[in-house]
Amino acid sequence: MKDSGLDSSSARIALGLWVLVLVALAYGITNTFINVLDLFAG
Amino acid sequence: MLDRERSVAPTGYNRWLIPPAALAVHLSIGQVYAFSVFKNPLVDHFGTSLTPIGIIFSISIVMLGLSAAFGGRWMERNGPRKAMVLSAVCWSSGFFIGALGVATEQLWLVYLGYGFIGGIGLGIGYISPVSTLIKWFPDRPGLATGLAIMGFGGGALIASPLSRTLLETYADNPADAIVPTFLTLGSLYLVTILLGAFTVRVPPEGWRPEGYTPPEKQHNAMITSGNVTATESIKTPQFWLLWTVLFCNVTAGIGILEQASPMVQDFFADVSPAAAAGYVGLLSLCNMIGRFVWSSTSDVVGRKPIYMGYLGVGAVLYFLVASAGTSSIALFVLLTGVILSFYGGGFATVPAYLKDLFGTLEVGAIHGRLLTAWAAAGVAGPLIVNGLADFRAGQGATGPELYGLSLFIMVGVLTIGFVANLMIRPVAEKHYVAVGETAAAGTSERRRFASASTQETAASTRSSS
Repeated sequence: MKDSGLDSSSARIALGLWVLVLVALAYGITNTFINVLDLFAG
Repeated sequence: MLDRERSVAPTGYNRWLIPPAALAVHLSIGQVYAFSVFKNPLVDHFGTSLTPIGIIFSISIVMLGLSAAFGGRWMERNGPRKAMVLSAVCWSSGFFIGALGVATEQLWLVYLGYGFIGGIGLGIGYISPVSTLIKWFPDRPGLATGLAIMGFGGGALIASPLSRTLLETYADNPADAIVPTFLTLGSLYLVTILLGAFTVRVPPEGWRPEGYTPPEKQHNAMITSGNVTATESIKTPQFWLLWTVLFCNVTAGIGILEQASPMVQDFFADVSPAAAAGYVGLLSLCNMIGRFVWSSTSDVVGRKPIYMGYLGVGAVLYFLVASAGTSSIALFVLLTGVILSFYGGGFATVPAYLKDLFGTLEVGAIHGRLLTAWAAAGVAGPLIVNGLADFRAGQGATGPELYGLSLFIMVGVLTIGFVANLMIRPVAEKHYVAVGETAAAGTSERRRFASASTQETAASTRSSS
C-alpha cells in the first residue's frame, strides 16, 4: 500500500473527521470527569 | 454518487480513513442516550407528566430495532453511503419535525419526528458502517466494529453537556429553548453524518490488508468458511441462541443504566443529584470504553470465550452488587462500571461474532435482525428493575432493599445467557450459500463477497484461534 490515498479530497475530509471526533470525545470525557469529581467529593 | 459502485475505494486507499466515517454516524445517533436531558423541559413545555414524554424515547428505540431488522438487506444492496445519507436525512428531520411539534404545541409531531422518523435514522445509521468495517478489517473485525459502535456509547457523553449548554444559552427557561436547541442539533448531526457518508468507502475487489496472508486452513471451528444469507440465518439455532445472549446481556445492563441515578442515591443517601449525574456519566464512559476494549480483545481470545466473560463474570459482579454493594461507594461504582463495560462490549462484539458464524455476505442484514433483541431488552430490563422497585416500595422497603430482588433476577438472566452462549456451535454447512447459487442470484458485488469470504473469514482464524 504505497499510495496512502491521502491525495483525494475525501481522504482529507476523513482526516479532518478524525480530528473532529477526537475533539468531540475529549469534550464529552472532560465534562464527565468534572461531574464525577462531584460524586466522590460529596 | 450514492451507489455502492461509486464508493469503491481507489487502489492503495488507507483503511484507517474509514473508522472516522463510522464514528461520525455513531457519535451523532448516540445522542438518543442523552434524551433524558430534554425530559423535564418537555414536561414543562407541554404541561404534562413524564410518561407521555417518555414515549418519545420508546418510539425511537422501537423504530431503531425495526428499521435495523427490515432495512438491513436494503443497506447491503445499496451500500453504506446511501444508508448513511438516509440516516442523516431521517435523524436530522426527526429533530426538525420535533422542533415544529414543540413550537406548535403538538406532541404527536414530536412522536412522529424524533420518535418515528428519527428512529428510522437510528436503525439505518447503526448498521450502516458495520459490514463495511468488517470487510476492511478482516484481520481485526472486533477492533473495527468496536471502534464504530464505541461512538454510539460516546454520543451521549457529547450530546448531554452540549444540549445542557444550548438550553441554557438560548433562553433563561430551558422549556423555551427546546426549539432552537433541536434545530441546532439537527443541523449539526446532518452535516456530521453527511461528512461520514462522503468519506466512507467499500474495499476494491480482492482487497486484503498489506502483508496479510489468509491461512490456508481454518484452525477455529467457530469461524465459518462459507456464507449464510439473512433469510437463512434466522432458520439456524445459532441465530436464536445469539439473540438470547444479546437479549440477556442487554437486559442486565440496561436495567442499571436506565435506573442509575435514583439507584445510586437509594444505595447511598448522601449522594446529591449532581453527584448522581456524575455517576451516570461515568457509567456511559465505561459503556463506551468497554465497546472498544472488549471487542478488540475478542480478536485475540475469540468471540465465544469473551461472551462467557461478559455473562459469567457479569453474573458474579451482579451478585456482589446485590450482596455487598452498600459497603462502599467506590466498590459500588467499580462493580457497576465493569458491568456496564460488559454491556457495551456485548453490543460491539456481536457483529464480529455474526461474521464468524455466518460469513460476511449479509452480515449487516443479519446484524439488523439480531438487534430486535435490543428492542425487546429495552422493554424487559427497565420493566424488571422499575417494576420490582415499585413492588418492594409498596411492601415498605426503602434504599438498597428496593433493588435486591431485581439484582438477583439479573444474576439469573445472565446465567441463562451464559448457557445459551455455551450451546452455540458452528453453523451447519447445509445453510451455506453455494457459490454458483450466489452468482446466479446476486450482483457482481455479492459474487465478490462470496468468493472473498473464505479469505476474509480465514483471516480471523489467525488472531482468534
